[in-house]
Amino acid sequence: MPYSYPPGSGSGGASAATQAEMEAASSTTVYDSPERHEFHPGSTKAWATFTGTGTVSLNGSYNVVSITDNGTGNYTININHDFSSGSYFGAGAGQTTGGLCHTCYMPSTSKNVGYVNIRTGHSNYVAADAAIVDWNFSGDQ
Amino acid sequence: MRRSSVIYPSVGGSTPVATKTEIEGLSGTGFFICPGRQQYHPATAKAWVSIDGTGTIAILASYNVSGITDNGTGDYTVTFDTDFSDTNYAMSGHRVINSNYNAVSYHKSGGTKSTGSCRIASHDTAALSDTDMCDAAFLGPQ
Repeated sequence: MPYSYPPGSGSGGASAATQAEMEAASSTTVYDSPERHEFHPGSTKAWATFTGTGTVSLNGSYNVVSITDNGTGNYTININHDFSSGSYFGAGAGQTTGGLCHTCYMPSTSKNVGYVNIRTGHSNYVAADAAIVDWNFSGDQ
Repeated sequence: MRRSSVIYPSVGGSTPVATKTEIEGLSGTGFFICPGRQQYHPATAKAWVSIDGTGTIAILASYNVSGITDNGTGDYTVTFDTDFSDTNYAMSGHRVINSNYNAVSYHKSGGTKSTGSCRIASHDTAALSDTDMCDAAFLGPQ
């Protein structure tokens, strides 16, 4: 049969990796499952794509409950399953507007366990809404 | 989706391989994720690419990217191998610094996101420009 069995299957019986085992990313005797795959440190913990102009709307997401519009180029992404601390990775991209380039960035105190404040702006960080705003986050939950 | 005909035995019963639907739905711990389907988990990047955007552009490294197109200075289209199921996917990117302001963003044109490709812009201070490393990653439903 051209398949391999999960470690432990057929003899000792494999079990689903716990959150701790997924986070440790070291075991070869337990298996990855849909419910706990997210706990692997290599997994993205949350992502969102939203319309940042006019009435802000969340178009696609994972582990994000809502977007708050705080003003021009200023948004809060509210996370469903919180991070364990405010130390996590985030990266984003916006859509350029007219002849101006666009960027996404975070102010220095933006990261919280349950939400993150992000900004969009033109070159030289002049605040501006973006038609498309995307972010993704990785870290410990 | 029809479950795989292959059942992976374990003591006390069997642990079946999770279907695409089960993985996308984060359905429980009673199925295991096999390498051929792990990309369906929403926490997994569906595609990524590192581009050398100078001269004749080239893919330096990639996953699920079948090609890139040079549309002009700092203006590239990334074509996916396996398409997204809709255009509600997320992109993030960065590039080698040329000045004190650098970013990778969506191109200003409408329709920059499609299920099979994405048009991205690489820019510095206020203009599109090429660099020898421009990276982008994509997450969403496939």
